[in-house]
Amino acid sequence: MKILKFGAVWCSGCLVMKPRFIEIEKQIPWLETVYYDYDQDKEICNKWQINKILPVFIFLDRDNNELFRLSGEQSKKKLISLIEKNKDK
Amino acid sequence: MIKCKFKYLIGFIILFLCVNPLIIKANDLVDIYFFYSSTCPHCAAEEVYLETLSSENENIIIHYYEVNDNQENQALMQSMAEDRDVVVTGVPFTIINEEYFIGYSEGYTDTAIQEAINNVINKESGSINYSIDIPLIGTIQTKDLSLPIITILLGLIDGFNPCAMWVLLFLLSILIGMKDRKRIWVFGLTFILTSSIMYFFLMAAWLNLTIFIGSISWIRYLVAAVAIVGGGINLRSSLTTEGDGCEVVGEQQRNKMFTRIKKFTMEKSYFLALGGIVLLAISVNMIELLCSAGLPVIYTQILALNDIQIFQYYLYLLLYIVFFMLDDIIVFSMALITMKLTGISTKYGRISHLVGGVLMIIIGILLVFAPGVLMFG
Repeated sequence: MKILKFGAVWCSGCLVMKPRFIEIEKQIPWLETVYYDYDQDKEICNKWQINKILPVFIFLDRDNNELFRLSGEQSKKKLISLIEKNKDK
Repeated sequence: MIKCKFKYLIGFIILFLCVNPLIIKANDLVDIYFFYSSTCPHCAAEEVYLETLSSENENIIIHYYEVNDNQENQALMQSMAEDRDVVVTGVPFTIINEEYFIGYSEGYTDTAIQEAINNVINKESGSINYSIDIPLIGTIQTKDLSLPIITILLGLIDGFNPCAMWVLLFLLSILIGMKDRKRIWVFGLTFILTSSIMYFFLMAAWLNLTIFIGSISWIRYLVAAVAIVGGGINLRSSLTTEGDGCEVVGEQQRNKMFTRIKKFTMEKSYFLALGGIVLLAISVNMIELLCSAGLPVIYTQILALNDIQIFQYYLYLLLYIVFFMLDDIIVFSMALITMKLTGISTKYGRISHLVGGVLMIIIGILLVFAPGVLMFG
């Protein structure tokens, strides 16, 4: 499982999520995440249709298909629970 | 999610209800507005009478306004007279609550004044002035507290929108990337100070306009309408927005702004860069004030309703600005200390919308039906 994270430097909620994800990645070392900046990685943002709210977190399966996505700030607890639930996908 | 949003609303209402029972008694203060001329013998006679009254009863407060040599006092007299649909034909002109007296005649006006005072005391319909008994601290007059509290509250609500600080965040991100603490200090502070000064002047101009046209009662109704509609919009947005995040809007404008910020911060000449930051702050705040003029307009209307000294008006505006800029100051200070960008959770922005919405609607209703409640000072 892999998570694509979309954010921007001007987005306060995205900045709040940064340290939260650092903690999660420390706690779950096998977790693969990739960060994309809304202003710099325009093509990828368009491909994943990121155009309403930031931050966005897209959960992908091992074949890089979208499982589901979350928009806005999320709690660490909720993210960990979702990661654990979908770790074998 | 909706359940969670209602939690904040219920919390706010409970807080309001908890504070309310603390208001235990009215002090029956009687404010007498006495407009006089220093050359008028009837005024001198009434002054003696009023002084006797106030020395006998400490709850009688006399506000003296000399109108011969003071244009501000003249304007105030006209404004208070218009509020009561009366044409002032001479002085002394005395106002006690809704009652007024033109001229002074012993044996007649003094009796009428005494009756008007009794009416205020009996009906408790004079200026709202309550006291709160706080254990260990003692009795505090709410009129001394209410204006600073409402200033802080409205300033915080007006300013606390983490998604609206995108310009500062982008500016700081570039400055942090340059790893130049001095530039962060100078440019960041310049941006915050210019924004504060800009907002202060715009609000001061609006306040003066409100005071100038304050006698026209439909202006108050217009501001009340702004408050109720704005409050409704805030409430709706806080209850219907799904999730805490920042909306991706105004891409063209943002890109233009970012190009300008990059250009200014990369500028080799310090002074040119500073000039650019100042211009940037001015333009950003012009846009921001146009977008969220509701709260400043409502706040200046409340301020104008209060009979305080001119310097106090500006001190209150300053207090408002400090709390309006608080989130920017926090983010800037964190950037200076940690050399990292720190965000403020957008959920606080939603809470601020919710509380602000409720407060704006309450203020709107009060402006129409009981403006006296908003006269704290």
